[in-house]
Amino acid sequence: MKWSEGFALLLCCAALLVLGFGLGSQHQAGKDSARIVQAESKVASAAEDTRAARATVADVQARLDQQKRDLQTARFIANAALDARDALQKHLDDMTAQRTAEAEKAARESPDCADLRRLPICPAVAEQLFGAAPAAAASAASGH
Amino acid sequence: MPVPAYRPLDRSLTRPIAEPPVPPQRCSLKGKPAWCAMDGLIWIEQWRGKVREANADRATAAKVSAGTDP
Repeated sequence: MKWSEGFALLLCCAALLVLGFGLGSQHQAGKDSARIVQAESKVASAAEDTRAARATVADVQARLDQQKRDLQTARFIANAALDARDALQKHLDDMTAQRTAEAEKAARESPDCADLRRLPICPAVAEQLFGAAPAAAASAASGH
Repeated sequence: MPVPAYRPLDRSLTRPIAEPPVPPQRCSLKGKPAWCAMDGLIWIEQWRGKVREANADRATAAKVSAGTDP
């Protein structure tokens, strides 16, 4: 073998070696690029999830705040209603007394009602309404 | 949206309401004391007052338990 042939063979081997390296690194670069794209996609997806979760938390917080305000309003109304209760009952009691007094006065003043004031309720109905007469009940209790 | 604010009802809202007292016997029938018809009618007015008191307490109970209109 001449030295030129040997040199050519050496060149060929070198060229193959360089080509192999080139192809190999190109393949590796392609894989790396795919991985980068995948990782970027994951990062974007995670960021989106975080944004959605933050929005949900804010929404829930807003609802809780609203419920708290509504609850405070309800308690305020309830306390006010309880505070007003006794006065309201007293007022209704006074109104009832006033209405009965007015009815009695009207019955006294109107001659047409005089009979009504004298008319006794028959015992059968009176017992149903008021129970046994106090006098009858007293005599029954004493055994007479 | 109504927000319930449940809590035990105040004792004043659950106590029994006393019946109006039986009127005195101011008339007489066959020599015995009897109730007058007018007093019976007045008694109805007193019962009406009790119903109004009960309804007022019902309305208060609704406000106390839910904070909404009765």
